[in-house]
Amino acid sequence: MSERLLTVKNLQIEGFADDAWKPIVNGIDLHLDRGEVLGLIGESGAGKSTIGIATMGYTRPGCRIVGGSIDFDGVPILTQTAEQIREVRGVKISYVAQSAAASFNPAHKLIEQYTETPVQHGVLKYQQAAQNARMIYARLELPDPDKIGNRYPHQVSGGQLQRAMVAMAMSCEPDMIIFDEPTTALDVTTQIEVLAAIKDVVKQFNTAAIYITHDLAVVVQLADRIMVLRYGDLVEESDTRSMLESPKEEYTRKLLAVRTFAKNPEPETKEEHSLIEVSDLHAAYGGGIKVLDDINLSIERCRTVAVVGESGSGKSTLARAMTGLLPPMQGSIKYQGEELPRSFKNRTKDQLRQIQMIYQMPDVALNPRQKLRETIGRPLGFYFQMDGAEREQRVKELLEMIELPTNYIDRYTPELSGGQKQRVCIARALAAKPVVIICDEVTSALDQLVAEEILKLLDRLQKELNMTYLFITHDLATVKAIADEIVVMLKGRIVEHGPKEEVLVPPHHEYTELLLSSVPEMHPDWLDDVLASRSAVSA
Amino acid sequence: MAILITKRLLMMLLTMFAVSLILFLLLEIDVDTIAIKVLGQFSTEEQRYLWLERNGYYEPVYKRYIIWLGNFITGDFGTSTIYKIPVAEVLWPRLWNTTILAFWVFVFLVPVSLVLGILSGMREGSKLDRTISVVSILTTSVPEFASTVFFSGLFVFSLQWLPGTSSMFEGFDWKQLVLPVLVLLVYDFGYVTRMTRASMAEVMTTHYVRTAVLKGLPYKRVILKHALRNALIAPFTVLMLQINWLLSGVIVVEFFYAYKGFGALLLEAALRQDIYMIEACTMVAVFVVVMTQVFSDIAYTLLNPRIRFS
Amino acid sequence: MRRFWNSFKRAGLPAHIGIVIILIYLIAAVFAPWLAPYGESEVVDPVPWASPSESGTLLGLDQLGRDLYTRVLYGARNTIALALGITCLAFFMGMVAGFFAATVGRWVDHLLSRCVDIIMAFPTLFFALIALSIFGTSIPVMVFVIATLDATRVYRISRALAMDINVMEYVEVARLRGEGLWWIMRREILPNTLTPLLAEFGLRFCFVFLFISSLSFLGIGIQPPAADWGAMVRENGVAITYGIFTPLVPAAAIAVLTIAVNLVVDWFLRKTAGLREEY
Repeated sequence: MSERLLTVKNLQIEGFADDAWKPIVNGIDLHLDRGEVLGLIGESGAGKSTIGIATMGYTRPGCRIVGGSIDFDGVPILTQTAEQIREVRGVKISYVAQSAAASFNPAHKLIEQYTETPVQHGVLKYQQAAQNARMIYARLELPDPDKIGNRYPHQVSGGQLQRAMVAMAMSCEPDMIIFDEPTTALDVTTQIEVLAAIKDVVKQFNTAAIYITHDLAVVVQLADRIMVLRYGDLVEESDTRSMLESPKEEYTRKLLAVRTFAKNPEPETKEEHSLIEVSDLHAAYGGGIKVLDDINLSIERCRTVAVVGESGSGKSTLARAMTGLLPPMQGSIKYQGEELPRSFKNRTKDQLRQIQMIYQMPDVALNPRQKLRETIGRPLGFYFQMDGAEREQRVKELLEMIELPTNYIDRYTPELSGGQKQRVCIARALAAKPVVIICDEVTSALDQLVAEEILKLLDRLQKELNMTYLFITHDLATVKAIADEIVVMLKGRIVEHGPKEEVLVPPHHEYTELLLSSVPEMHPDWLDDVLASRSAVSA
Repeated sequence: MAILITKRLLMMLLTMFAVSLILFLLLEIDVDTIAIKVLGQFSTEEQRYLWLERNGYYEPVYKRYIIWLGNFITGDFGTSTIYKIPVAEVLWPRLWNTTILAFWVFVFLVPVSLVLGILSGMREGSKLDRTISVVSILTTSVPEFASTVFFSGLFVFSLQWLPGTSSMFEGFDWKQLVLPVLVLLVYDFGYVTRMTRASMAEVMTTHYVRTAVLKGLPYKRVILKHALRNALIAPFTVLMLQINWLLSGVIVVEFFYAYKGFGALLLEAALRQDIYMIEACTMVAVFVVVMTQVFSDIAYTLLNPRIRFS
Repeated sequence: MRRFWNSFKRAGLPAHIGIVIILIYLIAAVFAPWLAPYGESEVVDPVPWASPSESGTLLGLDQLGRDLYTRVLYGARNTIALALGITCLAFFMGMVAGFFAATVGRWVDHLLSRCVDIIMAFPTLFFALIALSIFGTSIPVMVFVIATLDATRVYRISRALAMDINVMEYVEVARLRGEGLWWIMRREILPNTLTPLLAEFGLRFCFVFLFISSLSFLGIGIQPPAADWGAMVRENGVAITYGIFTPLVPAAAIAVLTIAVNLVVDWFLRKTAGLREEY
């Protein structure tokens, strides 16, 4: 029988928004044993991070704990004085945040920030702490573990910094670590390294952990037990394997079923010209750093071409080059057999109309000072000279098309939810009656269930309106769901290109293989299997 | 780093050059007016002609500008029409007096505004914060010439602690310096305090300060080691830029207290049309301003580790 | 609008006091000729600095024996009207140039920004003194000089604000749609920069207002016999050291108005984006 470490009873937390205190967490019970890893999962607004950080007796500014009790190893956290809580923080409970880049102080070296906790708490002397740091850096496979500590945070890459953050959390060998979405901001191939590092240290030191994430596939790799949260309430709790095998609640089932949507592939149609023909495209930003290197690509009518790659692969630049926002240095883009001017400024109104774009962040892609009437109506007026009742009618039709109530026409965009905003962006693009829509990471900023709805909507619209999509994404699950053809990019080049069935089925290009194998899968042994097979290959 | 400094210095030279050109065009293009201003209203046509002739005013404009600029760079500012002696002999002592004034303002401004700003930004929305905010709004809202009157009423008339003028006819007297320094200080500290507060409050909400708190560090250490270092970057540059503001402020204060400084000199020169004096004062002032901008840019870079080590 | 009113109701005491004071000043400025018992430069009794009881007036007389209360009312009218006019002009110039620089970018931005840098290298009062000594002291010259000075500050802030908006994707969408520059400035950028610019308008108004008063105080602003608070402080300033409190009245009038505007602006800034650093 393992020893109980943390007991949370009836935890209630409120947040201050729109001049009133509103509940964020409604009476959550939670417990954790020594050495156990608990996964907290939910979409945005579930209260999972708030709960996690509350176990350290901390709330974000604008939040307050209004009820309940937290007992950590016999210490009643909520009734302690600030000084007593300070004794627990860093020593017995430590915290790993989502953005290591923002969570390290830019003014101090990594090793200074590592040693600070044990030295300040009087656990270790500086020399001993520094030596531990080098050991744990080595264990987490950071490059040059003896010297990396002398660097400043901005001199280290994102994945390395996140591992340095994990190392820092281990500096006093705490009883429990809170991991708050530690891999969410990372590329998949980096994510797997950090996941492996976390799993390793947690096992090694027999540390209990609360792992907070929105990604079920990630959490099943680490957690012994999972709690599903929604709007500050517990939906379901059970150990990892039984949750995967037999989820009890509808919501959990939905979360598990996410990423299983797949469209029916479009038949390939051969026309005389490809709809878009990109040849020998080279592009660079102002500084002269090349971001696109000899890109050749053709897009057929009514197909969905997904361009996939990690950050820095040049995939978004490709979209910008095609829209003419970043005029390429050389090469050509032909549209229906005709060469497009390099800069959008030289393109005709009709050329601009036919290629529309949808962005990653619907928040910044919509003017917050406009009503939907103007946001969606303006392209109608601009391209088709529609006005008055005719325009009003058409805007309402478009709203119906994207499954929003027509009375939303009088709403300002900040009054909508994230998914609704993205729908409005789609409607705005549709208003121009485009032939091609370039979708730049359109689902990345959305919760998974919402994202899936958007993908389904896009798929339906494609069939109804015979549109062609160029889908830019880093997320292979999205690619699997929506693509007819896949283009894999790495460092400004295309490394593999072909129909979905070909690219996703072995043999792969080396990088495609790495990418595919790094996407977490929804079973608990995935991480161990991948790591085992990788070390087998390298051995 | 070297590139940055060179770039800044070049930019500064360019600005100085542009300013000199504007000054020259505004003040020296119309030679007849110059002759009237120098020789007075009642000089004869002939006298003016001869004077202009002798001083090379009938040369082509570009040539005159080059000579004028050359004289300026070598420190020859011409002869003051009010004092009838070389401008430099009046200017440098006056500038020194103003430097003393500015020095004392800064001696108090820096600690007062930084400490208040930090205390206020440390706990945003606390009682202390609100009090400091209101006080700094009140003080920055009252212009120098209004506060001169208030302070004179209080310290000169009611309490009779301090003298009402600061002309220092009988040698340096610190008592005469108190009111000018106080007036400038009261007007300026609120602004710097508010800037410091904003910077501090922003740093307090960053993730790295949260990290420091969650590491269980003592509050003092969180503030001193993690927050301050980053929060002081912005106020530092703001402080440097206060010199520009101070140069305007001294005109009013020196005028009211009859302090023999640089600002009063410019005012006198402007009112009495002493063109060489105006030119010299302006060039010196602009030089000081541009110089502080260069310093503040460089300091900002030096203080910011992200820029320094990349 | 109703939301604005609701948030104003919760703005707190300082902001409410500020609004009330501003309203009182505006009423005084507009109705000065009706509220004032005497003419603007009418000599009531040629006794300098007669006290209220001696002269039978509300605030006593000034150095020439004119009614101080009347002068204060007319001073409000002159200075506030002039300051408002200049601020509006400065905002028009600064905003158009700033938005233009931010949306067009490249050499237009460089050119405009360098020009502004050069003007800003002059300490403000130096610039005004030189300009007024060259072109002479008159209302049109003063309007132009102060508006130019002020427009540089407005340029900086509106350019910075517009830059922030200009990188937003909705502006990119408008560009890709083929919209013209004027449309983008007017429909995409202006509405999204309006709130901070409104706060800035308050601050700039204070600056202009104080600047005019400072110039008048130094004797080169609004010329006598027209009433101006700065000039009134100058004319009566020496009296304070003899215990005559006449100069306190115009000085306080200035201080109270600027405090009031600042209190409102402070609330506004806290409500929107927080205090901005100087651009």
